[in-house]
Amino acid sequence: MNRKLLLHSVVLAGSLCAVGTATAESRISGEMMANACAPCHGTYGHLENEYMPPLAGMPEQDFIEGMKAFREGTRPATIMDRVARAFSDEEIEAMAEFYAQQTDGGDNE
Amino acid sequence: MSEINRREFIKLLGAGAALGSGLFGSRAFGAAAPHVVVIGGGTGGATAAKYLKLADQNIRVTIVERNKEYVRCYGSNEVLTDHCTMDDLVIGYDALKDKYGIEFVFDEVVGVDPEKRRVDTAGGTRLDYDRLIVSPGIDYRWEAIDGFTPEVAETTIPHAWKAGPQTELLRRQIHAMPEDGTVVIAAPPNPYRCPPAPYERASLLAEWFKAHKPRAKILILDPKEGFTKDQPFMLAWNRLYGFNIPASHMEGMPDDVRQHDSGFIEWVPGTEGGKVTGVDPKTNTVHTANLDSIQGDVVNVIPPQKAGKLAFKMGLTNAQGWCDVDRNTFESRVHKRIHVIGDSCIADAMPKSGYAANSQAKVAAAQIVHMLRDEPLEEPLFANTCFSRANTEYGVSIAAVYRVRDGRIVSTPGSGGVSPLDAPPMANRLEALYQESWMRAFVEDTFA
Ligand SMILES: Cc1cc2nc3c(=O)[nH]c(=O)nc-3n(C[C@H](O)[C@H](O)[C@H](O)COP(=O)(O)OP(=O)(O)OC[C@H]3O[C@@H](n4cnc5c(N)ncnc54)[C@H](O)[C@@H]3O)c2cc1C
Ligand code: HEC
Repeated sequence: MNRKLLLHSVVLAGSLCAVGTATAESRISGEMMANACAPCHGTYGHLENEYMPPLAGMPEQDFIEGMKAFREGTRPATIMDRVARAFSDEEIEAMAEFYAQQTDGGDNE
Repeated sequence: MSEINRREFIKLLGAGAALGSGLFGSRAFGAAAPHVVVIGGGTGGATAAKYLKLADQNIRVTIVERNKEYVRCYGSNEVLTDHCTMDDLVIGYDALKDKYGIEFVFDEVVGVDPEKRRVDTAGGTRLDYDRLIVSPGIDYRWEAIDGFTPEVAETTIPHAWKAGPQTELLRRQIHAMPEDGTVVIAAPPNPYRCPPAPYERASLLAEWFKAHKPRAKILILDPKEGFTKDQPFMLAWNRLYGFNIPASHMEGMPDDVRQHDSGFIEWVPGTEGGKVTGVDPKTNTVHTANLDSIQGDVVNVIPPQKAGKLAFKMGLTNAQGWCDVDRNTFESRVHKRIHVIGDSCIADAMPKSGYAANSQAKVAAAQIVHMLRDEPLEEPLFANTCFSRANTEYGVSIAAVYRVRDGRIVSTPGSGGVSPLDAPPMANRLEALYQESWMRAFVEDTFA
């Protein structure tokens, strides 16, 4: 993996977030991002007995370190490297916070 | 990124910090709870309804769906080779009804009045809405292929592009085919529902033929010059089914690629005569743009596509036959307060897939909640992934995370892409397992 290219793309992803659009607030919520992961990791990160890991209730620091390692290519992955490269540090932190709060056991209510 | 941009960015992050919590609390709407009607209880519609209710129990949500049960397309290729049965594809609506309090009208929508904000069904039910979500799936451009009609598809040349009786017909034909028979698969031009599915279909048939009819052949006729995940698919076919990778697709292939004398799968791109222009059901023959006639023992023509019938009836479609929407909200550019999601809508870089429909549905639901509460909208984010199996133990995938930029949905630069060609065998094995898990997790996230 070309590290320079990688870093470049990460910074680019970050700067794009600042552009914003006419109608929308310029911050993507942790929930909005987590919803896009739900088909693999379950609604709000709740998943049982699957090959993919659940994310609900995951300690923030573990999540952040895990995502950054996927992004940088230092943690083995089949697909998460490709996914994690789309997110800035701030976005990863927002998702971490969201998932850490999902401790209700999965009833989603 | 420049210092200014960075500072701007951080400031914006702070400004939006309160937003994330918006969907947790329920805000009372007073006496009249707003009513969101969802037409189509398929992938997009079901997800939208569930996520509206998750966001706010006080919103009344009604799904109008013609069928009492949903038959999912994802996994339907596996019926052809007895990896699963039609029954396994059926999904009920009890969870959406009982767990989330979503109301259902099982009926065909025959009319919508965007001025009066009113939906009428064939059975005479009339529903008033504050916001309407439409997710009617796809329809076919029969006129693009001479001699192809719904009757032909139902009896002799199935497309099987909507899981149901045609899936069963195609399965019967494949099982009854002679030992050395040929299946012709005519792939459609872009854009169409589930871009990798014709090639996954070919893969699963090849796996089955290898075990049950080792002299059978699969001929893929394609109007395109390439297709999604084409290189990972072709590499797998080379390894598993004696497929010879064309020179056009050799770049970056690993050293173990071999030249074979014969194989199960042949792929003909548009420039080499792959574009099918007509069918003759009496002789099971397809005609191509190069004026060839090709006969198959089984012929599976997947026709070009357009938005679902209802979208046309409601006047939501553009000249190309798809529905133009505001990419932040999926509100139609034709009718206010009507949101179009899923296969029928135009979503730029996003493919027409179940995953994409699910992702769009969640964004539309979140924005509709904001609109009903007179709150500011939020910035959307979408994803798509498609796992496909080259065989039961060999999976390949494509992934992307999308954002709205300048009014268009684009893939986030530097991210996403297909399974690497130098992936170790373990990765392909794992991807096959993840595909299984995805199927269950996805159905759960959408319907339960
Ligand atoms: C062979 C195959 C394999 C696939 N595999 C995958 C996969 O692995 N992963 C993936 O992500 N996607 C896959 N897909 C694609 C996926 O099935 C579709 O993209 C997805 O279902 C689109 O959702 P939708 O809501 O737009 O339409 P649909 O799910 O088709 O839902 C439309 C619903 O609207 C209803 N409806 C339409 N008109 C009316 C009306 N007038 N009144 C009442 N109800 C109406 C229909 O009955 C239907 O239930 C596959 C597709 C095929 C064909
Ligand atoms: C297509 C399925 C898929 C999607 C989409 C997906 N993941 Fe993953 N995730 C996986 C798989 C598979 C793994 C195991 C590592 C691997 O093989 O890549 C994983 C692992 C993880 C882990 C490590 C968990 C642990 O216990 O250490 C985290 C964190 C994670 N994903 C976060 C996310 C987030 C956040 C998103 C959405 C932005 C996301 N994933 C989207 C499939 C997916």
